[in-house]
Amino acid sequence: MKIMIFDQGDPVSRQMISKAAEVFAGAEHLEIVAAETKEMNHEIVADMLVHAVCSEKPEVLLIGSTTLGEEVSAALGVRLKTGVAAHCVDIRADADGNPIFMIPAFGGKAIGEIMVPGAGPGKPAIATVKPDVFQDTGFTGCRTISMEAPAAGNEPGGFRITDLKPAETKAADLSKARLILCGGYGLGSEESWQKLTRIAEALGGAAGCTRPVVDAGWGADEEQMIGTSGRSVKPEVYVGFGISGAAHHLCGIKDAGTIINVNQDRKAEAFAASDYIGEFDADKVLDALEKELDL
Amino acid sequence: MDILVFVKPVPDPDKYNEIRIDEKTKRLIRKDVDTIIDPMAKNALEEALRLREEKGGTITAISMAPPEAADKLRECLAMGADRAVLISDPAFAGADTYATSYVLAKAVEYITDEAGAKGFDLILVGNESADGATSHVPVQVAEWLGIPHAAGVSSIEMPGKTEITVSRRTSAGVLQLQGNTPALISVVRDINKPRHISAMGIVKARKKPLTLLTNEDLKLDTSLTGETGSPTKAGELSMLDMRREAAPLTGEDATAEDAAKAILSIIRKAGITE
Repeated sequence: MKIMIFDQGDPVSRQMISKAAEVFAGAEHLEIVAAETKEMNHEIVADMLVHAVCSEKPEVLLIGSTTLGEEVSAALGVRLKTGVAAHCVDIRADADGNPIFMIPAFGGKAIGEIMVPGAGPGKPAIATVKPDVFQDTGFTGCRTISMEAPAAGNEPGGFRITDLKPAETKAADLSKARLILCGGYGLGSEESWQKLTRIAEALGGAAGCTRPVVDAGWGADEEQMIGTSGRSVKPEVYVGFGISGAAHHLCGIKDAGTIINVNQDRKAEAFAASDYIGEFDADKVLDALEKELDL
Repeated sequence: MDILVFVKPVPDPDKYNEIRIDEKTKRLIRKDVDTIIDPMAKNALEEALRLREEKGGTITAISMAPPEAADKLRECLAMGADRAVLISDPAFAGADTYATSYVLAKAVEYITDEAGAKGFDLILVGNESADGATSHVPVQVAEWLGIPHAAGVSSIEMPGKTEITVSRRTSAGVLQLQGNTPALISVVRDINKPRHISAMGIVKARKKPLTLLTNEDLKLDTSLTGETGSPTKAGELSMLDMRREAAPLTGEDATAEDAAKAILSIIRKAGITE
């Protein structure tokens, strides 16, 4: 079994290598190849990977689920005439050692199995893998190949990157936070969201939010959004304020240690997915927290 | 400028908590879950309308879906699209992204050939649908058609006739990319705010053409379409059980102050803060 990992030098690449080593540990002649590049233009990366697949002939190709990774994996599906499983959250091997990819659907409410029966050497089963769902075990038994950029004059056409403005990371890193205070539309106002942000900071935690809060324009950043289309988080304690509990948000917090939700709506779906629930006006509880913390 | 917009009908994302799986058939029970136009497809249509206001031209809304999706295409016509095409055939059902994108690409070739026109300048699509959310179909259509693609786009500028500048938000920052027409661009939610349908729009929509395309028109090899043409096979589907204990944070008649104290006590017990 030969497995290729698209190695962008980021944590998800390490996580995929470790997971592949674990899942296919029982395979005969297991070989893991990390195909590495720092190139960011998707057309160039797609060309490089087609070349790498044709020379290495892997049976499985794993690609990190970044914007670049998703665009490149979809293109490879057509170019290599093979199946692609998107946003994989688990990988298993069937009785014959072939991969089964577990992927979320309906905002993560359902999990489906995806197989690629026609896959084989040079026509790999492709999957994209969400960051931070697998552990980096520090596995080192993998071979790294540096993919070469196409020679000048041989570059593919299409869109080219002309500028990069580095992200302003005003939000504390949600993926590393031990405590997350999360605001939903039930907060009701920008003022309430700002309050939540101040309290999160005072407690040494991070502030997260749901999609409606980003859309409401209260100053929450897209990077702070938790859920299937945002970040998946694993804090030790999560406290939700005014969260209704849409499936795509709840799936992003399902691995949290303790989940607390405060909402005056007793029918909030978030309650059923909580360890502790409080039927209170979220904004009033935030006021009380500010007082307790002398903010 | 001639723009094609792909539109996908999806079960209403606000109702995903109501979706259940039939224990026997292992299929989804979608009863009582309304079908709506995928939210990001509306962003794509809105962007097409904006570009048409700026540059003139036509907008064609295209959907591959069961016949009852015709009313969703009527909504697109009411929003302002000039014509609509519904691609529907039992031979196209059960397709994965690969087989779906193949049929869509062939339909695009058919529509633009049939029109005898110069083809199209842009294809605009929602970056990911609310139900499957793979984001792969748009890119794969572009690959079949052999045209450039840009995914995850949050702004489009076209200063001239063919040059396109788009921006895309990534974890590294905001990327700017440049390309030329014809091209396919998949857009994300923050690109615009889709307009509401007006009463006048609904009246006008009645007179706009809505064409049905089946495989009698497209004449595709059915071994390449639908479930048969899909390289991925779906296995079991299961629902995620996210239920927890839901114990009350405080006793009865407690105040917001009591709730705040209870929350702080849990956080402190976890050793996160003093």
